[in-house]
Amino acid sequence: MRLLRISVLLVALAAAGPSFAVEYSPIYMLQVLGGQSFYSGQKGTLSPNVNGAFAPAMKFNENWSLLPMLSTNYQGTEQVLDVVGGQTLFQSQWDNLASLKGIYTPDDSQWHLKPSASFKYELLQETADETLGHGLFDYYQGDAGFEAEYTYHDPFTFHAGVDYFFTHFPNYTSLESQAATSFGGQSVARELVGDYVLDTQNGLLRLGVNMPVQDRFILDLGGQVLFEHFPSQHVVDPTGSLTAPLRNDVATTFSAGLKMPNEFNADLRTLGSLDVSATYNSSNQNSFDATQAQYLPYYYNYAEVRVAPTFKLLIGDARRPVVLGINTAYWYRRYPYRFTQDPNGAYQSDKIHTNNWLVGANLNYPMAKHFGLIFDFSYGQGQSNMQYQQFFQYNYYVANYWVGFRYDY
Amino acid sequence: MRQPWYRRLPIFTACAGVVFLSGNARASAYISKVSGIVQLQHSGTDRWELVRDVPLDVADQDSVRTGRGAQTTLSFDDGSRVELGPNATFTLEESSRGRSSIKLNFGALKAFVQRIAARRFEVKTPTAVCSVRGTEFKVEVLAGGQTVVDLYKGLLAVEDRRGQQILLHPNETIHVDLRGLNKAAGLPTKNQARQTAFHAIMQREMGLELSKHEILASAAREVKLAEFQQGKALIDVHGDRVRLEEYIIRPSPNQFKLVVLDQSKENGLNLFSYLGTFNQNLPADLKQALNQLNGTVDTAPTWWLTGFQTVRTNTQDSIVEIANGGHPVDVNHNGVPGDQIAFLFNPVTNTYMSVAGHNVYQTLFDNYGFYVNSRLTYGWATPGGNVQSYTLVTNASTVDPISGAALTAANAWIDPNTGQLATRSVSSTFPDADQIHQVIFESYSTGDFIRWDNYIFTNDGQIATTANFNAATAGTSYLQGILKFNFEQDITSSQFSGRKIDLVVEPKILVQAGLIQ
Repeated sequence: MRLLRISVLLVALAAAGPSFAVEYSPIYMLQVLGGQSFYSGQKGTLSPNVNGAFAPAMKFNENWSLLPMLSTNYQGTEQVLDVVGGQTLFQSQWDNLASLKGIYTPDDSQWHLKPSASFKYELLQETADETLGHGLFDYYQGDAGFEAEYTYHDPFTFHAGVDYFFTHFPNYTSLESQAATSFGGQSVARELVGDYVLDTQNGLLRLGVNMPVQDRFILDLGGQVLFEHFPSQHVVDPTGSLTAPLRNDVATTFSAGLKMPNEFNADLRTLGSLDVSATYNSSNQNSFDATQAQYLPYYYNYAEVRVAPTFKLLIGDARRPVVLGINTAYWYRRYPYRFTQDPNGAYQSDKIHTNNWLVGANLNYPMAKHFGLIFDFSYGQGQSNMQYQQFFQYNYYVANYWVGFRYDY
Repeated sequence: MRQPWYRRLPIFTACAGVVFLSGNARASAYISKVSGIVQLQHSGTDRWELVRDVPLDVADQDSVRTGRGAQTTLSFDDGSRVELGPNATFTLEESSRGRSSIKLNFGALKAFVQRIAARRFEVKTPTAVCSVRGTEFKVEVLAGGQTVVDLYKGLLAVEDRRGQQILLHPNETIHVDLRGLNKAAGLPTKNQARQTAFHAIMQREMGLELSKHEILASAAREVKLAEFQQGKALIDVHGDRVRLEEYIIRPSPNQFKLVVLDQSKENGLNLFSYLGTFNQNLPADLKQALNQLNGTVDTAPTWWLTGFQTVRTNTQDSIVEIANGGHPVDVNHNGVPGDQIAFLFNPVTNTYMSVAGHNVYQTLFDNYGFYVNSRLTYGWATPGGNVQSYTLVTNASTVDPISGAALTAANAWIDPNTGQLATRSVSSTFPDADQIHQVIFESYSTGDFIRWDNYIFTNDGQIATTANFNAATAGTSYLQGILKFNFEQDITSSQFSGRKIDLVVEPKILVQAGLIQ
């Protein structure tokens, strides 16, 4: 809330006019879509997706600029990626973000230094008895970060960033911690049980560079390390008891992307791209399946590789082309310490892996300056060697379509 | 400051273009400056030579190219010069006093041309020819040959490939492509251009910021994903959220307690717990002992229960079962007809196996009590202990089989007609055709009742159908089918004042412990 007040104040100062010698450039984005999702036999209702952002960018002088931003996103239709592995089509999701980003460029320098802070909350209504604002998985995120970017050969840059952020799930406390006080006289909770067990304190390091390749292509290389600390989640030992150490995860990701623009003539251009990434999450947390009395060490460890080729066809005026896009993605994830289970729940010797892929087609048809119609269709499928799906759907298909418009300024 | 009689003319092209400097006699051209890797290819050869020393003469039809980050300057003896940017290649087609031409094959160049009356200066691109008459302008050739011409001072004639011409005036811009000339438009002012550039930079920053927040959001999604994978968030038969947690506590070395907690908005927090007390200390790998909980085949068990206690409660109402005096009995060879076992649940494979004719050791309990809100409703005792079959036990009537206390209306459901513990009758039905919804109704001679509604539902909250169970509603096929689904048990009673105990339990432990039969 404080961040929001500061943003409003800065906007007001900027709007005060030339006496502050601030150059003001508002940025708007609004996207309104209607659509429907289909998930392994279920059909969602026709519902809207609205995404809007406003950023009154300010330039104080040649050294300092400021980017306050407000963003809101309401989803009544679940996206293909959102339902991956989920159990049902959610009812609605609404997230709001307020952020403030400064950009400092020293005199005669190619460096850009960018401190930032933000606050976000996401409300999620997943079931019939949940309402917006009272969803089990609603969460808040606060972030403070700093990024340095060096333009070594305009427009190509190298950047490095560090962020601290926290995630708080206000409606999620462990039942075990509730039980500790709910059943007087009953010993129903383990020692050291925590309450807000999903909350995290996190550090994020990011590195990236982009560069030309053979004067025709653009290569993006990146790496990031995400440190997650769970201050209320104690580590489970082989007997199923909780121990003093707290859960810590480290997720490391390397990514590469190649963009391949091509122009056949003034009216026909293509943009191909290929993005690949690899992630490994390492966790000290274990799991104990109580009903099967099965200990699962390093339960949260996983390795994932992802490949995502996309292709765009741009037709007509380069300033307002008709864009026909095809996007595909495939990702493979393996849990090196999780055993598969047969349909009855009996543990097997194999380790769980999942294969997911999706394919989509979209059309952006410009109607006027900054304004275009959008048509989008996506289909995805998930497969796994995990056959026990009593709680979690490992094998599924999902599809959705959207129709609407987008305004950018 | 005194104006020179000539004016320098900057020219910039981004991709490809042709520059002509007209004249009659030969004018020498030479490389006057290099930075980075610059190479020269002499006319008629295929070899590229590194340019090390300057000045270096360049002859007609010679080519020059620059590497990444490199630059070079080509100077003419009349004071004109061309600056070639990185990753560029050009060919000097002709250089004379009346006419010189440079063909830019790739990259960008800026040309500074002395204004000489006799000289005509042209810039040709794949789609346009720009005729210079003392002007200052910029030419940019985009991929595909599209040309953008911006005129800052003077006049500029622009001609397309079809010979159509237009005369540009100061602060005008025009796009030329393979179709010909487009309409000339006004150039943005410097302030407008600066604002546009700033707007573009901030749009990029906005995109970067949103991308970063996508990383943060994916971290939250991953946390949530694991909750679903562990079965801690479900949807019940009513489409409502049900939370579920299952864990084990070890109160003492020979005990384990399985705790199942579920919570829904409608029914609040509910608890099911199973406390087992074994004949000896439990191993570190609890599975070894639990796998014998259901019984062993051919050999007597190493670990068996001497007692157990189950609790079902919604924090206000409770149903408690207590048993003690547990000991293994070969039920297939106990000399009691009618209680032999043909199929036994195998907790390793979670399937039923045939055990007919085998020695099957199961734990039987001498004493058992069933309590609703702390009052005994049903139970048995075995005088002398070591019961060999439940057909041999004696139902409790006046004494609590666990505590030994005399039964009164305060601690038991006493039938006022007999003054003894109420008698009960039990029925089991499936009232909804095609649905696996079992109702077990216990009616007591006091007029009280306990109703158990057992729902089997799929992981998307739909009640399982009889087709899912191959029409089986009893026996091993039915019990086997339960393991593949979710199990919800609603318990109501005449003693609950309209409340209910709503339990969502993974059915294996109930099957294994014989609590679902």
